[in-house]
Amino acid sequence: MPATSAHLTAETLEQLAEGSLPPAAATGAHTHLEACSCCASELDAIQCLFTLLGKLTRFAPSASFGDGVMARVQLAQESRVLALLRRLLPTTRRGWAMISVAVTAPAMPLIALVLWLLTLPLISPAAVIQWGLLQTQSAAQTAFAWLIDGALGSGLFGWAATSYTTLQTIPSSALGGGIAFLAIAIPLSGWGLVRLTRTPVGRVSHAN
Amino acid sequence: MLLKPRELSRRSALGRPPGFLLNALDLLHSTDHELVAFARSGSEKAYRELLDRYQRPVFSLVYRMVRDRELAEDLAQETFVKVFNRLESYNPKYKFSSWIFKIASNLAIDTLRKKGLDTISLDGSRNARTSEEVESSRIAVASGDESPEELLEAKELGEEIETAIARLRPEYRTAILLRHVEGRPYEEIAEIMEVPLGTVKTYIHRARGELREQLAHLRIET
Repeated sequence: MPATSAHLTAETLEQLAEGSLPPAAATGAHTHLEACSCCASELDAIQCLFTLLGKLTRFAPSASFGDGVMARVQLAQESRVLALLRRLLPTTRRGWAMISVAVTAPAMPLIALVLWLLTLPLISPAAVIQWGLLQTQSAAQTAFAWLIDGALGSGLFGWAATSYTTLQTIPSSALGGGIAFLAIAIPLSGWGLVRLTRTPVGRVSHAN
Repeated sequence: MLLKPRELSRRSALGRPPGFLLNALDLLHSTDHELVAFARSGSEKAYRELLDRYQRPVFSLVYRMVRDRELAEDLAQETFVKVFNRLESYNPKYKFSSWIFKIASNLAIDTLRKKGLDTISLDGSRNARTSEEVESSRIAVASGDESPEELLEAKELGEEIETAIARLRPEYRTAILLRHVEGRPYEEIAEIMEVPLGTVKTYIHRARGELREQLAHLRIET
């Protein structure tokens, strides 16, 4: 390209300054610039402008910006149960009062009966507590007896004895290997779970 | 951002982890498209991460457009609220950044037109009534780490550049900010501004020409 007859276009110079000019065209442009002080000066001016614009930084909004946004955002796919509860829960004092009455009303006769019983001379609070303790103790004994009967009836003890005999037939090396495998696998799986459910800590901004 | 092979295999084997299983690593290494998908599935952390990534770029663009901090915060918040509430309609064919910048720049330009603020005040909000309000609504240009002399010099230089940019037409301003502050390619700027690629090149070329004229006196000093 003759240095004096055809100057580089402004677009070419801008592309050159940006580094987006294709290599072949860039080589030609550099050859021209060596001989043309006019275009070289123009390129200097463009590069200077780019340097000045490069000094522009990003501004940060106020600290409450993010919370302000999130307060106005309807999060996607809110849990249906939560959404239903949110709809059902009252929003006014009157609503809460009505809910309280609705919940406590069915229990009122029972409460009244207990209060009436407590007013009788033979039924004192100490006697009621003692009666309750005796009933609890009796229920616990019955439940324990039922469990023992059930275990004996289902052959649980026989199954445990069979398992013990089977374990004795397994070679000790295989048994040791199995125990070692479990000893490694269980902590590893626990670590994996912890890593999966870990809460994010700190924030890394991608801006600037 | 590329994911590690182990991470990829975990995701391909288990599918996308549910919101409550997302950890910091997942979010930081996620692309914008992945974050949008997490957000669509109800992960608040994904919304927060998108907010962290884009709050400064979006706020800066809007602030430089309207040059009023309070108004800019309102418009930037409006941008995020619109984007987040319309995530279901987001088309992953386009870049998330293009979408959010498009909404931000449209809001800013509409506001400028509505309020007739094309020739905006360079020294703070028009709505400011007291000197404190004027000062708080001015664009701050120094980072605060410089010596007093450097601070003054940087502030003056920054103000000169900001002033020159403020004098550009809103369309030129949007294009030049997206190109030189956000470093967006011409094609993406065309997508954001919804104009042909040639128009974007013209906008940027003319904006540079006007800036060169306005900042010519700084050339010798720099």
